[in-house]
Order: sequence, then structure tokens, then C-alpha cells
Amino acid sequence: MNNQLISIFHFYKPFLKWSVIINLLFVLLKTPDVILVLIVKFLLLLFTYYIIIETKGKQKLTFYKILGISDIKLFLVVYVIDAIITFIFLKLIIYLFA
Amino acid sequence: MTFEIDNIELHFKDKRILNGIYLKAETGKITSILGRNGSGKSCLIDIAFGILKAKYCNIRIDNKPQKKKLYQTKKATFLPQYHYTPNRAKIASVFKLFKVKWNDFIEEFPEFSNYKNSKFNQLSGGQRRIIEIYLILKKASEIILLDETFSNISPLYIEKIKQLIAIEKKQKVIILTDHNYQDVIDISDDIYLLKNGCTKLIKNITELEDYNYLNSGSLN
Repeated sequence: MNNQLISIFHFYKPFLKWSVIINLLFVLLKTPDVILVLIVKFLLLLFTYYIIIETKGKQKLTFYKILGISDIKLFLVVYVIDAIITFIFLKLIIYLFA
Repeated sequence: MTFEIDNIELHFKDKRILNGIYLKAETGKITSILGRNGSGKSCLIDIAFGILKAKYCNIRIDNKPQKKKLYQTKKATFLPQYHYTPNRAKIASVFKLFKVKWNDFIEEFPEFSNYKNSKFNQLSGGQRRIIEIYLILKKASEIILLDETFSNISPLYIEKIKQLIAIEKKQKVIILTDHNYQDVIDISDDIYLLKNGCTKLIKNITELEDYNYLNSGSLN
């Protein structure tokens, strides 16, 4: 389980940069509503999943399957990790600048 | 352990790929699948592992039907024909994730000792393939599925990998495919020929010529 989580973090790493950019974008637009941001990110993650499974990127998911992680589990855990980071990030911004 | 797969039906649009499959593999034996390009060998391995969905598929382990995909049971591991390791992952980190000892690997392949902290995309295709094969062979699992095992590997390393497979077969079910038929024949206990979507158990090697998989005289 621990190894699975570490490998999911590895998969999440490239997404972190984009996640922070989206957070900052919402802050700059002065709409740092956590629910709204999480809905947008959920839709973006669905879109990313679609792109991956419809292209050669699908092969990248084999590594996680070898470790026993299904696509749904992988993307769900990535979303949960990102939601926690987003929540803390936005709450901190609101607290600091409110 | 016995691993059986049968009743597979796979179509891509109107093209029938697999329809009369029966394959049985056992612990202590290396079971190989031979077949021409496009015969469906990789599809069969992908279906067995659970990363390709067939219209129908029956998998039994020790006569018990498997409802879950094989990769979710963690009983099996799989070497695809493409590089499966993440490009930017550190080699040492992946050894840890797979719970495979780096020192054991270095004992077998001392020429790789400088690569522990390298990333996979810093290796050549062949070097990367050797590490990927080793990880799959040594990962704790009861069933190993190997697709195009010896492709991109130099002859010396092929011999070493054949030795490693022979060691692992003592406690694992091993199913492999490859086009290098001489190495496959050399290492296999059972061979299935995949032709016209069906498997045929080869009882005598000369049948490979009879079924036109090999040119007559190839085995002399």
C-alpha cells in the first residue's frame, strides 16, 4: 500500500505545477472559491484521463498496473491528493490576504 | 499452481483476432506462445493480465475462475513489449517500489553498477530493457507474463536472461512470447502456436514447419 502511494505521488508530480498555476489563476481572477476550483480540476482531470487512454500515453499507465493500481484508483487518489493541496493553498491565501 | 485461459473472443471492429484459445501454464514450466506478426500474441497476454478487454474471457487459477483482473489480484506481473518504466524515474526508486534488491541485480549485471542513481531515460533502449526484464522476473508474484522478451537484447544478455527465467520458473508460472523462435524453443517446456485466432499445443517441434510458422528445413 505504501509503495502504491509513493508511485501515485510519482505520477502526480508533473501535475503539481499545473495545479498550482490553476490555483494562482483563480486567485488572480479574485474567485478563489474552493468548490469551484475543485470542480474545474475534476473536469480537467477527466479530460486528461481521456487524452491519456486515447493516445500512446495509455502505455504509461502499465507501470501502475504492474504495481496493482487500476486507472480509476490512480486518478482518484491523484484527485484526492490535489484536492487536499488545493484546499490548504486557497485557505492560506484567503487567510493571508483577507 | 495452474493457470488456464480459454473461451476468449476478441474483435477489432469487424476483424476477428482471437476466438479459439486454450492455454494452460503451470509452476515449474515455461509456456511459450509463438505466432506470426499480428496473430494476436500480445493481445492474448494483455487480456490475461487484464489491460485489454475481450468480449469473452475465462481465466482460472488452480481451477478457480478469476473475476478480478489479474493485475488487481497482485498474483501476476507483466512485461509489455514497450518500455513501461517512467522516463524520469530514478532506477534506485523503481527497484524499491518493486521490492527488488539492487545489490542482487549488480551481482548478475556488474556493468550496471554506475547507473543506480540515473534515470531511465539516460539508459540505452537495450540497457533499459534488461533492467525492466529483471524487475519483472524478480518482483514477488506467482505468474509472470513476458511479451517479446528478447527483443532489443544482445545475444550475451539473452543467455543470461534465459538463465534467470529458468531459475524463476521453479516457483512461478511463466508465459512468454517472442519472435526469436530458437531461444523460445530452447527454453520452453510447452509451446503453443497461435494461428487464425486459435492456439495449438505443439507436441513435436517439426509441427511448427507443418503449420507454416517456419520454413521447412529451418529446424535442421
